[in-house]
Parts: sequence; structure tokens; C-alpha cells
Amino acid sequence: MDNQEPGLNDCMKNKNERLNDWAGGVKLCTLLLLALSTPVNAETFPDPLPADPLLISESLDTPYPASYAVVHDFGFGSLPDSAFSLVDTHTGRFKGMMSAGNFATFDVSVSRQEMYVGETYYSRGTRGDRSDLVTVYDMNNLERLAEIELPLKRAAMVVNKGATGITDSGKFMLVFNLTPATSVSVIDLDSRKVVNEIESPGCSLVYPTVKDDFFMLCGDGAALFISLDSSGQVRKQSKSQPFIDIDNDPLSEKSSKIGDTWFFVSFHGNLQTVSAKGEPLDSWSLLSNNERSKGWRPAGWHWTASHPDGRLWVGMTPDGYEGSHKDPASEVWLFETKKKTRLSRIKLNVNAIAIDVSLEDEPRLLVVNAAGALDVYNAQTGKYQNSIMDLGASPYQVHRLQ
Amino acid sequence: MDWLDKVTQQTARNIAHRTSRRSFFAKFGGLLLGTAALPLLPVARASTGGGESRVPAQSTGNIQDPGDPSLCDYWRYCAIDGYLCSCCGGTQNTCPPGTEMSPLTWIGTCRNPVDGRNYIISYNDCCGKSDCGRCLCNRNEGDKPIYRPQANNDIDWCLGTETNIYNCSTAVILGVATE
Repeated sequence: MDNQEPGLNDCMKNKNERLNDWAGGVKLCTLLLLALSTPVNAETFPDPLPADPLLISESLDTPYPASYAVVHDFGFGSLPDSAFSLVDTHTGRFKGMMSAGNFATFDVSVSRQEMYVGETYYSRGTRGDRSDLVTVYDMNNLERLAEIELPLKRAAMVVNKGATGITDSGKFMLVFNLTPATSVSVIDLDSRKVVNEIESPGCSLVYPTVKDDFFMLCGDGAALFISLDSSGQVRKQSKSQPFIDIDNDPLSEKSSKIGDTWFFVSFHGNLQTVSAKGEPLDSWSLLSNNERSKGWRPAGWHWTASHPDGRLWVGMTPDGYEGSHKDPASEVWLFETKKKTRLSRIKLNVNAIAIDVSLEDEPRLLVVNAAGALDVYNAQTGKYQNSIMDLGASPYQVHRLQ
Repeated sequence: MDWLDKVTQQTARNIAHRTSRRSFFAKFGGLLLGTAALPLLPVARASTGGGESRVPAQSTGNIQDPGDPSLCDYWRYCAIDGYLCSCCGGTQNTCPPGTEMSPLTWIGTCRNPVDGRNYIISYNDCCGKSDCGRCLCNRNEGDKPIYRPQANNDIDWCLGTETNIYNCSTAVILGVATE
């Protein structure tokens, strides 16, 4: 008899302390003692459980429901060992994960049913021969399908969705390089080979637009537009006039795309759209004068999320100051970009580091919060739904799987 | 990389004595190599930036260089982003034993509260061992997006070193900024 059994201990305590009901206590304890000292309902279950099959790993039903998302654990504290967690934001279930190396990136191709992790390794962990690669994963079982060797120059930076991208045609993957000379490696996803490296002096990150076109943002405030041909070679290239005031109100590079257009939000809350050709389009303020006077500013690690219907979500914080652009956001503001109006302000339970929005019939707002959990809200009404805890040492980013 | 170290340091010191930060970047932005800084999220700053210290107190021993280099509010750290080397076996301007200081850094300008001067600070990363994990500090005054890399602290500036494995960040005085 195990006298540490909590039920029994509780009973003994009750018996001693509740003298006015001691008879009832004795009765209850007697029943528990009998239950713990005799086989339980063996007669009801005459057959034992069968032996389990061995050596089985789960696989996943594909294509995934639109409620699935990937959370990027940057691994801050042990950078060479980072990870991506696959979760179902509807059920709150953890579905599986992908290990990753130093300064990893994430991309997905639903049409190919593949996910792509960019990563850097050294042959002896933190020393030895360097390998830069994109590892290809099968969405069905999260197993590695291939490793695409890269030039040893992929950019090492804190998680950033602009560090890599897949062109709109699905043919090429683009990998931003920084040595600190800047360039782009072009991967043919059919052959899984690097087919080109494009020098991009002064220009960084990649923003795919239509077909095999993309643009980069440049240190002089301009955009560099590049169009690839079917073999991944540069078909056309042009640079816009400078349109970003980097010194006084820079556009955050952490942006979102709607249709063919990219939406960038500045440190002070001005929205700038950029066309598929890398040319500036509209610019308008997300703030009223009153809100501006109260110091409301965009904030977070990745502070925008979008829906193809034109809705844009932006993480915001009050009492902004020089350098507050990476502070967690206490609210998420929802805008209708076609009408250039705000629809609502969503107050968060826990401040946000990064946001994204699922593409379900009722989209969910996915929030990596400052406590390291993923909070799920109704993206339109802002009603809190559930949380998924314990997603690594430093979850900094969330990706819907579009 | 000794030659690169020497060239970079001497060039930076010479320029720093003569120019403001902005003109410095304007002239040398394409080359200027920058700092370190890994990002710590404000979450981390909240735990290190003004609250109680989790490490023994330190001092530079120089009243003209005030503050505790193991704390995030030390004056030189106005644009730092990473683990403080002062808590990792190094100091505010030296790397921990067995790590390698990156010759490529980005530059911030911080005001010394005692002598009232603006100093040009080079945020060199220390590289070659995994994250120190102590005294995380993230301050983003003057931080710009990655497309202006020489002014961005999201980038791992362990460049020009044997590996790009990040350990911690220093804050080295290059000289007085002259407007």
C-alpha cells in the first residue's frame, strides 16, 4: 500500500480534522483502501491490452488545414541549435518540428508540399568547416528530402522574413547574402541547385512580386527591381528613385504583401505601398493627430500581417520613443487598405513580438507573445481563442503556411 | 586577419576623430562594417536594463567612465544588442578568453554623462564560441533597418572572423565625435 497516494492522504486528513463527520470519512477511506488494494474491474476487461507495434513515427495528413502554422525558435542562448515548431492553432496541438542551425530561415511551397529551412552549420558544432544550405522537408512526414548547398555567404541575422523568398511562379527560391557585400543566390527548386548569384551592391533582402520578379531595398532609400528569366538569369534590372527617409522615418523591412503589392510601415506609423516593379505607390498615415501625440507607434519584431482581401494588421505600442521600434506591441490595429481606414483596435492579453494571420474562412490572428507563447485571436473581432505554450527558448516569428 | 584588423581600426579611429557619425556613414557606408548585435528582445531588456543586477557589480575604476559595465544602462551601450562581454569573461572593450573579436563593426554615438562629450563607440562582436547567455541587453537608439546594414543591430557581425558563431558584444571607444 502506497501511503503517499494523494487520495488516501486527503482522506486521512479529512478524518482527523472533520470530527463531526468522521463516520463519513471512514466510509470514504474504506472504499479507497479497497480500491487501491484490489485489482480494478479486471472482470469487466477479461482481455489484456495487446502489445503495441514498435518503431512507428507519425505522419501528417496533407495538405494541412489552414489553421496550421510554423513558429520559429531563434534559439537565442544556443544559436547553432534553433528549431521550427508545427502547430495547429485551432486545436492547440503540437504536430511536430524541424531542427535547424545557425540563423535559420523558413519558406514553404504548398504546391510542392515542401518546406525549406535555410541554415548554417560548422562540422564540429561551433568550429570546423562551414556549410550553408537550404534543407528541403516533406510536409507529409517532416523528413528531409534534400540539402541544397549554398555559397558560404548566406546572411546571418535575427529572424527576418525578407532574408529569403520564393518567386510567385514557384520556380525559384531567393537567398539574401551578406559578407558584408550584398548579393542574392538563386535556387532552381526543380533541380534543387543554385543557378545564379546576383550582385546587389548597397541593396538588401528580397521581396518577390509577380512571376519571377522581385525587388530589394537599398541603403540610399531606393528599391532595386530584378526580373529573372526561366533559367534564373537576370532578364531586366532597374532602380527606383530614393523614396525612403531612412534617417528620420525609415520603413521597417518587416512587411507584408497583398496581391502584387508590398505594404511597408515606417517607424512613425506611415504606410508605404511598393509596386510589383519596385516603385513607390501610395503613402498614408495609420495614425490620427491625437494618436500621434500620445506616442502610438508600430512595434514588435515582425509587426505586420495581411489578408488577400486587403486587410492589414499592424502591431502598435503607446508612448513610443527613439529606439522603441522593437518593443513588444500592446495592441494590433486592423486596417482596410483599399479604403485606407482603420476597422478596429485589438487589445492583446500579452504584448506581441510577431504576428501573422491565417487564411481560414474566419481568419485567426496569430501572436507570438513576449512571454514566448503563441496566442490565437479571431483576426476580425479580436476575441481571444487559445494559447500554445512552450515553443522553444526564443520564439520570434510565426508563419502561416500559404 | 591581422591586416584587416589594423586597417579597419586605424581607419575607423582616424575618421572618427574627424567626422560626425552621419557623414562617416555617408562616406564609408558601403565598406563600414558593423557591429554586432544580436537582438535581444525588449523582453530581455526588461530583465536586464534597469532592474536588479544578476551579476557582481563592476566599475571601470575611472570616474570619467561612469557606471557599471555589466548593466544595460552603462552609457556606452546606447545602441548595443547582445550579451554583454563584461558578464562573459571579457570587459566592455575586450573579448572573453579564447574568442575572436570581429574586425567588422558598426558604430554608435553615445554621450558620456560625466564629461558631456559624445563618443563614437564601436560595437565589436566576440566570436567563435556559442552564445554566452549572460546579461542580455538591447537598446535601439539610432538602429536602422537591415537595408542600411552599417546601422543595424539585427545582423550577426561575426564577419571576417574564423566562424560566424556569436558569443557576446563589446563597446569600444574609438574617439570623440566632432560635429
